[in-house]
Amino acid sequence: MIKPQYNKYLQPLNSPIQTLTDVKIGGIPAWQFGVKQRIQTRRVKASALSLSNIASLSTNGVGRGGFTNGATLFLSSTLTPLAPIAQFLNFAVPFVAIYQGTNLVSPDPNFQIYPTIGGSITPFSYTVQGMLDWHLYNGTTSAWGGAIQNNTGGSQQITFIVQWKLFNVNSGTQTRT
Amino acid sequence: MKKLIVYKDGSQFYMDGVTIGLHGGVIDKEIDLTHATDEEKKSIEENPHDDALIAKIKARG
Repeated sequence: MIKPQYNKYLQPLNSPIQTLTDVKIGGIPAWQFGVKQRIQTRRVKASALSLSNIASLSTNGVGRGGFTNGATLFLSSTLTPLAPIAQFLNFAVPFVAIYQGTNLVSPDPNFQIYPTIGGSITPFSYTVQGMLDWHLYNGTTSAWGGAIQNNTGGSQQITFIVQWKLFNVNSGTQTRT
Repeated sequence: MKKLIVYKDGSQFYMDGVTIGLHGGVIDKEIDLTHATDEEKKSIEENPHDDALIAKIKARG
C-alpha cells in the first residue's frame, strides 16, 4: 500500500485539487482558467450565471437656468448607445435631482426641490413631475423627462442634475443629451 | 455637448448632457460652449450677443 503524501496545505498530492493547480491551459493554471480567460462566443446557455463589475456610472449631466413665477420649464435626459452598439437596447437607471439655485459644485440639500424637499424650500412652492419617459424612449435610448412650474411668487434659478447607472456588458459607449 | 440656449424673453439655460428649456418659449439663439473656457462661458452668459466671442469659440471646434 502506498503511503499518502500531502503538500504544505495538507492536500493529498494525488487529489483533484492538486491536479488542478499543476495543470495549465495556455499558460494559465486550470483553476484560474475561468477567471483570467476572455471567452468570445455567439451564445452562452447556463443554468446559473454570476456576473460582477458590469455596471458603469455616467458623469453628471447638468442644466441650469432661471424662470419667473408661473413659468414652466421642461427637463429631460437621454442616454443613447453609440456605434457599434447603436442598435442594442441599453439598460440604465437615471438618478435625478433638482435644486433651487445654481451652485453646480456642491448643490445644497437644504435647497433640493425634487425628488425630496430640502428644509429651506417651502413645500408645494414648485409643481414638479417626472418619470422614465416613453415618448423620448425610442427603443434603444433610455430617457427621463419632467417639468417644473415656479409657484414661489418670484423669479428663481434652478439646477438640474442627472447621473445614469447603466449595465455596461458590451464595453460600448453612450452619449447623453 | 455644452450649450447655452437663449430665449426671446431673455431667459437663458445652460446645459451639459441634459436638456432644459422654457415651456412655450421661443428660442432666440443656441450657443455651443463645448470649447469655451470657464471665463468665456461666464462672459457669454452675461452677454449672449457677443458675436465676436461666440465666433472665436466656434472656430476652435
